[in-house]
Amino acid sequence: MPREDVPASDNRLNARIRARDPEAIRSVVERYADQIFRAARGAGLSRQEAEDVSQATFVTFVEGASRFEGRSHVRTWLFGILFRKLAEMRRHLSRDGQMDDIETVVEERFDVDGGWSQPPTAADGRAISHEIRQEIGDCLRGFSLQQRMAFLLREVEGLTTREIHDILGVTESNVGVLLFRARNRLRECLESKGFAR
Amino acid sequence: MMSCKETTEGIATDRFASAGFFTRLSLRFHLFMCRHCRSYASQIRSLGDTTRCLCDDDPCLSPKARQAILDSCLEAASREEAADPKAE
Repeated sequence: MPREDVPASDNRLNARIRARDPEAIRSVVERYADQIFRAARGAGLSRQEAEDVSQATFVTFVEGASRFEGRSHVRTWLFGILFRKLAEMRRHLSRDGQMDDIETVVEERFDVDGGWSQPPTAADGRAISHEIRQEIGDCLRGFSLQQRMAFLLREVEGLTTREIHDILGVTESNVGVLLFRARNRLRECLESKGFAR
Repeated sequence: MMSCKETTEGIATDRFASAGFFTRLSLRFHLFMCRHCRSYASQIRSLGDTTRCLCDDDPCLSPKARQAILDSCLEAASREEAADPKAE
């Protein structure tokens, strides 16, 4: 479900953000601090690291506020700053342009006509329950930063493909590729751990 | 009818979210007919739901950390203001 955001057309708020009005800043922090923190935690950081990178994200936002023209949402801009900071921390970006081994794994599940040759083992997705949360965390650790962020921004924050494209700086079709890889990697990982039976 | 491979690709890439009426109808028909793809679609949906719950377990900054962010932001705003007093 999409989470609340300040509309891009809220010109009054945008002007106050550009002027670094303390109340506008307070409002942005109040509204988005938990989302940014949650995304940083989702990217695999400890609580302390996530707090630090959240703080750095908001400070960068304030420092660049005079350039904020409201063409994108405040949320999109903040997530973009966060993503660049995470990318500085983890240099996994180079992996994402390459062929991913998950594509070979998925390819091998189908026959030449595109029918299943190795169907999924779970009869029902409800088998994926609360007890596997720890396993999901472990599986996510194997993701590249872009895959992980695309997946979390889509599934947890409910962002659109367009917003994710703005944040990660990849084309919209690449967002689809990142989601394809992330979802299949996670599904295969859990199945290999015996959870999807 | 679309193949299982096309169906699962469309589900995993979110391509069907912006698809036209006939493509979505074709997807529904495929899922009705194919239990493996139905299972796959259900698992993908569940992964999203479970990950959302996982993140919601640890969603919040401590009040101290939130205040530290706000203080740093206000400090940065004053600093920028002093450096560029003509900013709008």
